[in-house]
Amino acid sequence: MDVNKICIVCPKGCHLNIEMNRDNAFLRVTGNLCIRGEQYAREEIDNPKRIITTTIKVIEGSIKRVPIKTATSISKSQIEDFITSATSMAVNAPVYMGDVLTIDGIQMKYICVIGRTVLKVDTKL
Amino acid sequence: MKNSFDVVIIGGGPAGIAAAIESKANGASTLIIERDAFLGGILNQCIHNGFGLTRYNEELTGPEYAEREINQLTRAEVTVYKNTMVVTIDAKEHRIKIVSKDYGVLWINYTSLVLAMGCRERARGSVILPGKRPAGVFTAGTAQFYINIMGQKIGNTVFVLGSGDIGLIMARRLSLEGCKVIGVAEIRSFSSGLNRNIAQCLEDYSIPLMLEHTVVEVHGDSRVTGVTVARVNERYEPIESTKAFYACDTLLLSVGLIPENELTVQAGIKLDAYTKGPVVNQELETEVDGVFACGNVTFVHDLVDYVSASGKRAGHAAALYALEAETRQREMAISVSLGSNIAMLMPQRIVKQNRSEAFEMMLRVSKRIEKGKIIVSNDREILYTAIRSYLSPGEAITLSVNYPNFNLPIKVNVIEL
Amino acid sequence: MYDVAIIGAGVVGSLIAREFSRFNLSCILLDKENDVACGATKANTALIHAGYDASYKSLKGKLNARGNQLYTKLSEELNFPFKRIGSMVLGMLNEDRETIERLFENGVKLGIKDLKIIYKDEINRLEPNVDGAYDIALFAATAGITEPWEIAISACENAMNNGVELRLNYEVCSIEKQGDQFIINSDIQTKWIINCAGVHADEIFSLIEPTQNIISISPRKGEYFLLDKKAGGLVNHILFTCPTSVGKGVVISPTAHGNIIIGPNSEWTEKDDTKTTFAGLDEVLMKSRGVMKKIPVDLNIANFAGIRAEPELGDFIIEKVPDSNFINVAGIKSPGLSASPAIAEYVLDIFRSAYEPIDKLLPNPDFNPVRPSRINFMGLSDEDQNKLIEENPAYAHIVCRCEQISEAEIVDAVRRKCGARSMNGVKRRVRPGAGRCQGGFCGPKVIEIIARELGVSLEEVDFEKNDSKVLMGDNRYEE
Repeated sequence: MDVNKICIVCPKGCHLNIEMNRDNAFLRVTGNLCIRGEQYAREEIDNPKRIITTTIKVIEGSIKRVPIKTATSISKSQIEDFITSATSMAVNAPVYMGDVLTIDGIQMKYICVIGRTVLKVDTKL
Repeated sequence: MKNSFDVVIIGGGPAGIAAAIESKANGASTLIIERDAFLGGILNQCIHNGFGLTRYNEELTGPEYAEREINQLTRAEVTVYKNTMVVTIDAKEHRIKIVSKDYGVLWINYTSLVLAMGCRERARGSVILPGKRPAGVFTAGTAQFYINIMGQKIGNTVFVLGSGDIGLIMARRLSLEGCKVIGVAEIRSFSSGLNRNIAQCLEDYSIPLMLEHTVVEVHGDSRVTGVTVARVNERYEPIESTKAFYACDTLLLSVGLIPENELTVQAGIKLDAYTKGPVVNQELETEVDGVFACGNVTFVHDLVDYVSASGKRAGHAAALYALEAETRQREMAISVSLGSNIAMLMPQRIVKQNRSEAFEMMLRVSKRIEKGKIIVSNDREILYTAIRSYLSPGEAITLSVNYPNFNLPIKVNVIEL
Repeated sequence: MYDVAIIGAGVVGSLIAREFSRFNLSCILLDKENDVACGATKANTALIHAGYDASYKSLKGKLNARGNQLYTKLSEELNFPFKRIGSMVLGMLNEDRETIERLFENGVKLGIKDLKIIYKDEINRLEPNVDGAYDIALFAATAGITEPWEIAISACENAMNNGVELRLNYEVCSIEKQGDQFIINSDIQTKWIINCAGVHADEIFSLIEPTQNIISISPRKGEYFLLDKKAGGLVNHILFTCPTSVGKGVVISPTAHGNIIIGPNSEWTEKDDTKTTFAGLDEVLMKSRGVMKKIPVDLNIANFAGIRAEPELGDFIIEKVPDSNFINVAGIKSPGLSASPAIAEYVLDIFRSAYEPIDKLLPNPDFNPVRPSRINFMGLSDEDQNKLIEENPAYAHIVCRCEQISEAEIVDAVRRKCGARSMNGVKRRVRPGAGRCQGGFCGPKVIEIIARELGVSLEEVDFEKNDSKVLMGDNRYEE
């Protein structure tokens, strides 16, 4: 049997047609314009993953929220755990774009990257 | 404190920043003016991925893209005035009036001016939504600001009107912030957003996309209590028998962007009726000498990467104008007009250039065309043709047209095949 | 214990309060909403009619004519926008000549100045966009446009500066008579009550006269389009059309801020039904196209609906209840706004004729008729702007991009007497939210300013009424 999915790897959004075998495991894919699409199709069947972006609270920052993103894509089944954990923590200003942040989930740790430099409030530049 | 610059740029978002970097690199004294406390413009609140694929070959979030650009600007030592609003452009005297937290009210003189004010969102009045005027109706961008910048919750159950990318992105964002997003209604039979966003914003979160539907009434007195949604016919008229009520406390409107041209109009600079931005030539100069425009203030671009390219082009032209102003002669411009199946295009004028004979054009078709032929021609000859598939109003088309003589007006048509 | 309690802080109640503050009376102005001018005053066509429309024999006719005259001085004292741009009732010679002539004669009988009948050429000269079929019109130079809520707000502010107390969020549910006093809600004691409660005036009167049938209010709803300032120049004057067999036409007019307003239609409805509807808006649009074919609907920035308190007998009901210190001011539909200064005068006269002991009614020695104007920062010279910024840096922060309004002006709008308590309260006083972006850009900043000024958290700021919160709190944990 097969299933149609839209590839989300790049803005092109290729329409993928993914064939699976009798055990619903990935067999092959058509419709992708590059090999990243094939990789995406595989994962989408075996273990769909996403990069998640959100914001977390900053203490004493020039702004209240700093955007973060998961350093690598995480399993869709982990998204809820990640969001719950991320939204219950805070960082202290200053934080810098590119800083690595580890967020402790229930079952696993999530490696995240700080997406914006936030200095302490009233820092003179 | 200087109050005279070769190039002054209004707007510190990606367009203005790119213009400033390029202007400075060409040796012009450059000032960039930003009304907010931070540079970056709308990118600061676009915390999702999808930026920079063309420009940096990487997928970045909005703030990451902004910070990279801002760092280049800082290294270039461009003068930056933040917390400053431009309130008047006096094009005749080549000066602008600013109201600034740090400098008070003063006039800044320029040789070249670059308009980079970006765009704003259409509000409820543009779509005529019957009902009272309860709290809880937000445009998607303003909701994004409340959530991502101010860290506020805006509602519990949300309905989204409009399936453009901003609406789709916000549907996902709201879901991640713990809201229940009931559905996204789109009046057309297709979404103008990217396919990938339908997948990663709606399908991932089991949010139904209701094509050929629209909101026909907003309920609630103090705060939204629900919406009535109906299917529409091919003339976009609601079909009475299909009305359905959905309880919710928030309605998000993602119903279009309009270039922000208050200052442009005040300055007496002509706007194009289709793009709603200033009429510009291929060097992004407006009909007023020495005033340039770039980014979303001219035409709502699909990707920020294109906005940066636009900024760079305008910054370059502005710097050259400022440095060569005395010797420069304004060339006669020929017009580019839009023909069949085209909703908007730019530039609307072409001037003779010594440097190149080809110019870049951007256009949007007015309806979905499965297979179309794009024809750029003048009275005598065809300058460019291309056959393209799956043309959609949501995806602007870029062409490079070769026009060595720049002599006759040009018309652009898209023929359905 | 008060001398006078005025129920309803719309334009009528506020102006009455101001009139009464000229005397040594203790007055209280009550309103059930969280701001003044939340009823019909907030949602109407914003016109000051010349006054030829209502019969010279009627009370509303006389009070409109008088009210129109009073507006010049009133707008100068209270510093609210008012411009006499002139109006035209458009008609066609073969159908409407009689109507136009009748209106003209009625106007003359009321002593209205600068009225004239004009014909095709002059109509086209004055209004080039109007349909060429109109070849006769009644032109009234004294007609004007204004900002109706600002009349109420400024009158109320002035009344408060002259000693009147304002109590908002106060719904009158019971009125008891005790000797020569009234007790409102078992709480406020007052000698006199003036009932200006708009669409609810009949309910208020029923509290002392349960079987009353003097006031019978039938609410009528009118829907409107408000066009972007870019539509400015569409019309130069207030335009009306003669009523046809299908009913009254709609008005197309410039507004005091340079927008264009189109409407209203008129439909029977419930008292609090301020919903706009497709049917109502379509009707307004269709009727407006009778005036000119090209109505730029794509320039629409907002729609709203207003409820008028239509009295059963058609005329204003302004009278003292016999043997009682209760004055009704009811059924004040169009031309209510135009008549309101004259209504206030009239009510004061009724009061004075009945007040005892009359020799104890003395002028308020501190009465000041002038209410200081709001500072229009962008209207000042560069020098004056910089002086203001030096004293108050909040002037250097332009919050509203569309209307160019500074933070200091918003703060002033909140801090003044009868100040703003909601986002729309700010919008009505100083414009952020009224411009073409409809608050998309400035909204968050306005909420922050209101929260800071009122000492509340962001999620406690209302959009309009109580319980119309915009935000729901910081959505991360608190330390």
